[in-house]
Amino acid sequence: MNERIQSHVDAIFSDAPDTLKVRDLKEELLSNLSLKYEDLIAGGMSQEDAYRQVVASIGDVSELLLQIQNERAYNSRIPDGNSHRRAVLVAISVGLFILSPMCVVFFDALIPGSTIGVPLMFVLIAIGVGLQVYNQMTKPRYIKRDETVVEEFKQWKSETTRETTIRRSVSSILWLVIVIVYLLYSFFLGAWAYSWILFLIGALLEAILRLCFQIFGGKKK
Amino acid sequence: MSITSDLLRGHTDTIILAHLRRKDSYGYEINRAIQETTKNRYELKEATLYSAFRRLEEAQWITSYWGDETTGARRRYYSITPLGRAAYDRNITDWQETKTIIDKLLEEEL
Repeated sequence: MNERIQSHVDAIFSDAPDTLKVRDLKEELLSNLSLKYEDLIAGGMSQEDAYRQVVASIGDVSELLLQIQNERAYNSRIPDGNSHRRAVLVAISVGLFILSPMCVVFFDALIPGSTIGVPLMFVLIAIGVGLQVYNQMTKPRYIKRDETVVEEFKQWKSETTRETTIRRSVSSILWLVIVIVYLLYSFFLGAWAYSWILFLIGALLEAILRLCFQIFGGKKK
Repeated sequence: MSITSDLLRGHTDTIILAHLRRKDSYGYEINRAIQETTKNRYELKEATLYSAFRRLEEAQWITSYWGDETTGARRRYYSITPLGRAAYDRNITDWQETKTIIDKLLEEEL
């Protein structure tokens, strides 16, 4: 392999980002150029002429590098390995939600009449909520590939659905908590007559939540 | 040469697909085949060739893999997909139609 071709190609790629795709392209280019060079030499051409002809046949690589960089921007939308962590977090928080009322039952059975299970239940719920919210906040955002209307729309759509999913998950947690509190409250204190008011409070909280998201989401634009 | 290149450039993708339809191949081999077929009158620039490869790969008309050469540098082979074959057939039909139209129009002008 001719060192001059190697250094010429190195110079072309000096400004390019060092990614797998760029490295692949460079290797492919070098491999094809050296085959061409060897063919030309074998055909009786002088080293100097062969080098010149090989270098002249490369053409303008800048457009090609731009094309690869665009692919990179597109790919950064889907970082690998995160979906597994996301699934684990969801599983843990769901597990915490299911286990939380058990605390109350367990401690009540252990020490009859004790209420230590109730704050513990809320701690578990709080951890679960925290995990869920964290999960939603760290979801990858859609990154614009260029300044076109279509890309602008895709990004807007991605932002909007993100907001909606966060609101939905907070609201589903809210209702779950209300049902749990309602059942515990009614069972332990026998307050069936007026504990249904909790659902009205829930509806109120839901409305406030919706309002908050609208004000907060509107401010960002 | 320069005018013909401009006219040919629009068909780079189809020219590559036509070659890959026969067998899996790599950049230099495709370019050499083009040179041989045209008796050295036409040759693709390396940049044009790879840019076409990337485009075709993104459209899933071709796929690529690294060959296991025992001597010399690794070669990147390309192979046509069923989607690519369908696209080739479509392009050929389009080209036949265009050729008929242009032939007729130019003959009239002459």
